Amino acid sequence: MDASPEPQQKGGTLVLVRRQPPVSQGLLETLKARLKKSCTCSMPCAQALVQGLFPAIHWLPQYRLKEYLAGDVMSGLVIGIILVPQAIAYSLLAGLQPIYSLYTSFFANLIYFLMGTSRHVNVGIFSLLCLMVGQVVDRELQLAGFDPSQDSLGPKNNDSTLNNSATTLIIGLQDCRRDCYAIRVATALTLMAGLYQVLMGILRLGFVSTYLSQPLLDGFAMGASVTILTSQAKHMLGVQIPRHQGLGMVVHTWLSLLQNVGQANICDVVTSALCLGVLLAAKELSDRYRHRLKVPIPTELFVIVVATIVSHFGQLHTRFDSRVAGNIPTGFVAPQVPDPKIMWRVALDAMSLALVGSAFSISLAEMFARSHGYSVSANQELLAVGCCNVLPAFFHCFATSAALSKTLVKIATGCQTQLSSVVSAAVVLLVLLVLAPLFHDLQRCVLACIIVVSLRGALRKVKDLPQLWRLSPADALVWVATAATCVLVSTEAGLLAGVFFSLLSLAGRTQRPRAALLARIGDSTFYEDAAEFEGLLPPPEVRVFRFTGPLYYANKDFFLRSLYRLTGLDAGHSATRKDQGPEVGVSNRSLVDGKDLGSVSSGAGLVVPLAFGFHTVVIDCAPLLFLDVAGMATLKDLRRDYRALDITLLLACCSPSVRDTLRKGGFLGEEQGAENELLFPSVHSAVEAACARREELLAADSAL
Amino acid sequence: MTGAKRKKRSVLWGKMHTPHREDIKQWCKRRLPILEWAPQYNLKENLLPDTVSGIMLAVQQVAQGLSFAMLSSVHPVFGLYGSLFPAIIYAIFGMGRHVATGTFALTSLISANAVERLVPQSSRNLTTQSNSSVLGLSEFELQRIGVAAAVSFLGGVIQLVMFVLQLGSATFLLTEPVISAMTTGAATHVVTSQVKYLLGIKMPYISGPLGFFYIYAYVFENIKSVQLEALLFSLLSIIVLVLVKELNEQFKRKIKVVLPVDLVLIIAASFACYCTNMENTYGLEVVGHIPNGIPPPRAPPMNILSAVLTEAFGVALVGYVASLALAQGSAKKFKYSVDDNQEFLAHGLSNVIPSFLFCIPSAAAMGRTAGLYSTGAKTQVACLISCIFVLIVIYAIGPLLYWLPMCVLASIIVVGLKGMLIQFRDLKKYWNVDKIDWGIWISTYIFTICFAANVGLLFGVICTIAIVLGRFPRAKTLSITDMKEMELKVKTEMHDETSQQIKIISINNPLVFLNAKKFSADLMKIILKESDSNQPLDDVSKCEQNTLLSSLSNGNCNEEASQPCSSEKCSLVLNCSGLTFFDYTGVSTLVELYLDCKSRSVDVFLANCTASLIKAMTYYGDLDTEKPIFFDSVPAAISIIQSNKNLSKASDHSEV
Repeated sequence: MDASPEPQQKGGTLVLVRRQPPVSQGLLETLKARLKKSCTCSMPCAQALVQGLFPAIHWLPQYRLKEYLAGDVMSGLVIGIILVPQAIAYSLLAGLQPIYSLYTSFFANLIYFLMGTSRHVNVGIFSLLCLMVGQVVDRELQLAGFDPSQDSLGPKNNDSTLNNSATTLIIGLQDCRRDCYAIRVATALTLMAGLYQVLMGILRLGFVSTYLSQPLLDGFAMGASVTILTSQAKHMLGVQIPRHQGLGMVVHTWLSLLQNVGQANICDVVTSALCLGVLLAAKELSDRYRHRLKVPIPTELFVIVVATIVSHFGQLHTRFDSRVAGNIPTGFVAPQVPDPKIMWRVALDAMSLALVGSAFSISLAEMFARSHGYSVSANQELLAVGCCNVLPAFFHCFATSAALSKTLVKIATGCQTQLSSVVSAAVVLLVLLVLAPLFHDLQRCVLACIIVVSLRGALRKVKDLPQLWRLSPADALVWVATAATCVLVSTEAGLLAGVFFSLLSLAGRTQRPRAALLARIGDSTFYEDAAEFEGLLPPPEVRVFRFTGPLYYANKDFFLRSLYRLTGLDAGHSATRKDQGPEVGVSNRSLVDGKDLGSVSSGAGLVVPLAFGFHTVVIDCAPLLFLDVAGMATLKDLRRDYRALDITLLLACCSPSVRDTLRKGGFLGEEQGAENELLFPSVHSAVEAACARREELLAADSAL
Repeated sequence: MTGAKRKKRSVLWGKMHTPHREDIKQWCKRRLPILEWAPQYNLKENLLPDTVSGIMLAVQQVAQGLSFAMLSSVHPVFGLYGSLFPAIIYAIFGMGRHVATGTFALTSLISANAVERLVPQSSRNLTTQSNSSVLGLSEFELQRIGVAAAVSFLGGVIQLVMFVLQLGSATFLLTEPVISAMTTGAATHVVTSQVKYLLGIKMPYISGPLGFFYIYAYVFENIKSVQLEALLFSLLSIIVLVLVKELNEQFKRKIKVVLPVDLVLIIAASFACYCTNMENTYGLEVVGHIPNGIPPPRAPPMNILSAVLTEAFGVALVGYVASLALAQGSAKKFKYSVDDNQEFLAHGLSNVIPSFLFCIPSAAAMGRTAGLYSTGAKTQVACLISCIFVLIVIYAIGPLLYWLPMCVLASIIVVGLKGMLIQFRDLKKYWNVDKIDWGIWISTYIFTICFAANVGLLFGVICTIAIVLGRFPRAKTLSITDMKEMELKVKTEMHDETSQQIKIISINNPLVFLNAKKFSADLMKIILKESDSNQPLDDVSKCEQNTLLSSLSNGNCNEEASQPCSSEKCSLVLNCSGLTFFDYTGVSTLVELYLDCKSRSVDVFLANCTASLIKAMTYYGDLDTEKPIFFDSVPAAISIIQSNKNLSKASDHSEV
């Protein structure tokens, strides 16, 4: 560009918008205003509060029957059909009777319909939460003296157990059988987790999910899936092995399986192989022909129906000693308050359960909200998921959260609103009231196969690891660390390890940001890294320095070292050396005075600042995110050292928060004008101001 | 327009490095700093200030040695040894020129935990009859110094292990608020431990969590058993010490020599106690017998090392942190450099080697180091000279200290901690500059008081890391670059063309999972405002829109109100020069942003991308390969946009 910039600038009108000084009210007045605002109660506020708590009130009157009803009913039916076998299967994972899973599915769907803000998320049984509930239940059963490996097998035992439970409830005895105690532990855990989630929602802690990154959640799901697969292997083989808990659970379980593989039940092995083959083949077909088939094939239902029929007429339980699901009673049990003593004992486990459930629910809700063009509230999601755990805890339910696979099925089948949850709940209710006894002869290995096949999505994430490694090695390491710790230690430790590693890698990378000297691009106002680009024009006698990161205690030394190295001047040492040299200056001055030559003295005065090659340092503060006390002290010391060397330090492109920090820290001095002289909106304006100031000094010296 | 191209980087191979004799010599110089500054010692300039400082330091070393040995629950004579041997070793290996190594209140307090736990007071009667030939002290005292020496030995070994592991580079985690709060809290502990001597109360040893509060509860319960003589003696000593030190501060510039008030007080108190026979008349507790000479070396008992592991870690950590803060402070003040890792070696050896010579754990102390500042010390020769005087005390003057009252020693300790307790005044500074650092200071101080110095230190470090990570999601992510001059230049080239809507947004921070969500929300907000301004509005509304948009800029208007461009396609240029690193979430956010803007008819171009970012984005998503997306600089992107526009204009003309 050959046109000179001066005439154009004169022609254009440069409007400078200055930032308003903040109006500082009194602290007492601010508190009074806030109290008055929060205490004011009016009808619109109450109405908005109710609508916020129950979003169904807002969107249900606007429901469009013609457009939405068909899709909602269809997806609700499909989800209901898929939900029943998964619910029965996952109760095995949680160490509970299948009837409790059906209760959980029913109540969770109803409550989320009322309180959820997402239109597509399905809240219900989730395998990771079932695993965590099962681990706590097993531990408490061991502590209470029950034998967790004792499976209630025959219908006689189940009948006597249920009869004893009813008798216990009637008589009011404190004694309780194994299954009754197991559901008590599960409900106490669920209530505590739900209370944590509701509390997080009330305190607006939805941002906590920010700290769980996607690779961390993927690694956690992978590790937990391996644990689930390990826990179901004994059912698929029909092997009776002792239950392992705590450290090294996965390794010990696999060792026990290998030792006892000779005692495998042939009937269970054959049935498992057949079920796995059918389920996997159906899944592959569904994935391949997904676009043609509007409705996915409910393979789980087919497998369950066929397996139940074969098991019933073949009498596999009596002839081959294969384990079956047992009696599933119909109807509902009276509500019961969870035991406070158990609640206190499981409070710590409930915390990790609440965090995992919240993280998955919020991330799923936000994912589908983004893809379908509406917004969800993280805090309202916390309240909704929390209430899905709190209220059902009184109805013998256990922990729930959003489930990814069922949510995907919902979207594929044309779900539009949460009305599909009501349809799903109706299907579950039908099973609860009428169809439950039909599943008596269902083999447990079939349920285990359904669980394992549903983990396919999570287990397949291993294929994403090489891609993740190429994108971001740090995230890949977080993924591997989380998964490995989940498998080798425990799921809670895996989650903590993942959070710790991800935050540690982030902290490590902010300590060594990139530092560069900038130079001008031709005649434009842009400045870029001189080491990266060719053909740049360094500003004469001015150094522009960019430090891409916050300035705080961890990297302030790196900041100074980078600045000194790039400018070729160690300001600290040079300032000290100059302080020790005033005598030499005095002697030079006396010699010059002896000669009575004024021009020579002015020349000598000019030579000293240019000994370092520049007279001004401009720091590009645009990448400077924040300052703390150490960073502030570093800037102050830097300016003092440069002032001792007659070098000016200017800051460009400061953000408002950094500007406030500088003002509070006393960097700008007492006058208001100091801010305008030291801070500039852009690098170019700072460089121009420095050159103008330099020319003024030269003119004054020449005048003398 | 002058385009700037990216430089080609040539890879330079580092040549193989063979070991030479100079390398070995340089290694010795690095590990033995005395070999570097001893030959260059300037006798004419430095000897006199160092001698004066050495004499002053010796007085403090003797007083604090006796005091801190008492604090460490061992016989006072071992404090004299602790003032002698660590200083010699630090002068050889240390890099701080104004660091006075010796007994230290905080490490003495930590060591007392081990001594009182393993050799409690109740076992004194069992061993009082058998006198050992070493120094004429009882076996009870020898057992106690054995425990303290074991703590010193193991603490030094831990510091040496940290030196081998190069953990000196991890000292950036120790920020000024954390160190200040930890030392102030620990000083509060020391003052609390001296209350029983100041008041003359017989008190059992109380430690452990919340021991601070139990001690004061015990004092208030037994307030009637206070010895008035001890209380008066303590008050008089404190008043004299504070007054004379204030006078020293005021007349520091006029009088170069500081009045050794500690020495005068020790002499006067001993003489008064001797003349009036206070030990028998009033029951005052005195120092007692101090033997002559230095005993032969003896190894600390190795079988109890596992029992004192906790205290050893505390000694290693707290001693190193306090010493390093002093070394870095003096290096900053007098403009020389200190190697953090070398300090590990120096202090490790200062604890390991003296543990064979009946020494308690050692570190640099703030009071002594401040004394070296004020008396004009230049090098570690001052410490060596002070060692000569400590030797004189050990061999000659020691027995004269028999009648020194314990309450006077306690007063010297308490007044010596004034420098640490004064750090409360920093709270106001932290409140003004950064309230978060103020909160870190307060919470670290509370943790140190309730538990221990190392627990407070650990809490402070964790809290600081967590707060820095917590700031990332809330930092401002975007800034709009000034478009004024660029538009003017564009006009000169094509006079009849209307300016296209181009927004240049600089990304000023790394894009990771913590702030990717906020980044996406902010960018969408800007784009939506841009879309709103494209709708047909009257001039007043356009001015308002410009005013709103200008609030997001750095103080300049970005648009001309008189140039409506409702029919033009928008372009967005992201200046990624500040995007220093990213992770999986950051890349996925950028790709989703690109696809989302594409669906909104907004072209997105990325300038100043690093090679890893370009590679990651092309690998992650199915980007549009027809038109280029990545550019070397912002002007290059703008010129491409203009040329694309010219092509579309030419095609329109050809159709016509």
